[in-house]
Amino acid sequence: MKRFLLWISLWLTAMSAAAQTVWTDGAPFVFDAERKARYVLYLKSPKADVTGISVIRREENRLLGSVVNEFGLKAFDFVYDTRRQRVKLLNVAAILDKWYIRKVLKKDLRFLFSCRTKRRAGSSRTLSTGDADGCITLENRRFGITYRFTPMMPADTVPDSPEEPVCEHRTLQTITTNTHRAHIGKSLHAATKFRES
Amino acid sequence: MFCCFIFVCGMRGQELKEVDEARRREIIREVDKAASSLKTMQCDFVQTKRLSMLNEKIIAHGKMYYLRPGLLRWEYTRPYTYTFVLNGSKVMLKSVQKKDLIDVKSSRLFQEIVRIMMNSVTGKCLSEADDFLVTIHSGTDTWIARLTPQKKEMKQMFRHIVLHLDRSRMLVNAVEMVEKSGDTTLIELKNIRTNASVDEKIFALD
Repeated sequence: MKRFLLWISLWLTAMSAAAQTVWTDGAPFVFDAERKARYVLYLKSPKADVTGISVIRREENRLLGSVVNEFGLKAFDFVYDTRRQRVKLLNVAAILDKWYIRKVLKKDLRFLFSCRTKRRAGSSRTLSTGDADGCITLENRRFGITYRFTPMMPADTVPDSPEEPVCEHRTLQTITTNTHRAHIGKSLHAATKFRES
Repeated sequence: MFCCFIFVCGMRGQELKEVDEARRREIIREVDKAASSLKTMQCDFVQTKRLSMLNEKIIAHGKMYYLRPGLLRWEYTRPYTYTFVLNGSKVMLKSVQKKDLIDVKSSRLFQEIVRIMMNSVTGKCLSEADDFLVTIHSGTDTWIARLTPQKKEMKQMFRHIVLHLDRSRMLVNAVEMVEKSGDTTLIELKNIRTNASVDEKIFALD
């Protein structure tokens, strides 16, 4: 009986672990038939809160994305290489184009898109998803930045005065990353700079 | 097919002719005069953002209200809700997640953006010689003004801005912003009503 219960508990543990790894590259974002995902982005930082629109397209070995504000002005483009897990920022708006902002942004995006393979202890970042509403929240506690992605409704199907769902998040998984000790000093310096900016 | 394309392009090329300097000044004067007589304006708008890297369009719909001299409400209704209200020197930005009240004077860049937004709606930005280098092309029922930014802040954002003006009404009916990255944002103003009564309450900063 004891052995049976042990097997059951092991099986349940394995199942719950498997459930957390079903995300494919680019997940937890939901892509449509054209392999595109459209989200309203809310970025909260100690200095300022900004909102915008994020569109991501999935290709074979990479994700291409753009972030613009509601008026259509570009904040930045990015390319995430799913094999090398690297983020490249492009066309960064002048106001954001500072090395310390780029550095934090790249690391956060890398975490966001590579979350299924990053499961190490000692994290400063948390990724959580809303259940039914499809909202995604990435929290960078080190710099006090929160990125909240809310699915955008297709223009054709949205009534005249829609209300976007306000996410009620439940942390489905907390994924952690180690920060290399050698980078801690630099990161702190970057954090200070970022807060000053 | 290709020949048809060339033919259509050729026709379009013939329709639009760059006006000479004297005519350019005259048009700017006319638009400026019409802008000065504009007390209120309200319309629907469709904003089409073209993301060059993704070959993707984001289409947003909304409503715009203007009341002279300094009240503007720019409201996106779908697929996202976002409201921009300019009331004197204060701006309210309201989304589902948050509401901000900003003093326009606190940021030079913001001041510039607000001023250009306001002047683009009325067409007044044609006469702002310090901001843009303006060339005008004339069509049968439209004037197309191409504005090349002269100031650093604007240069960093836009390659150029194109205003489409309705010749008969002397009104801007579309604004196209071309960014350095190659992305474009086209804002088409539809169902334009001028000098009709607009409730001042809609410009309240809540």
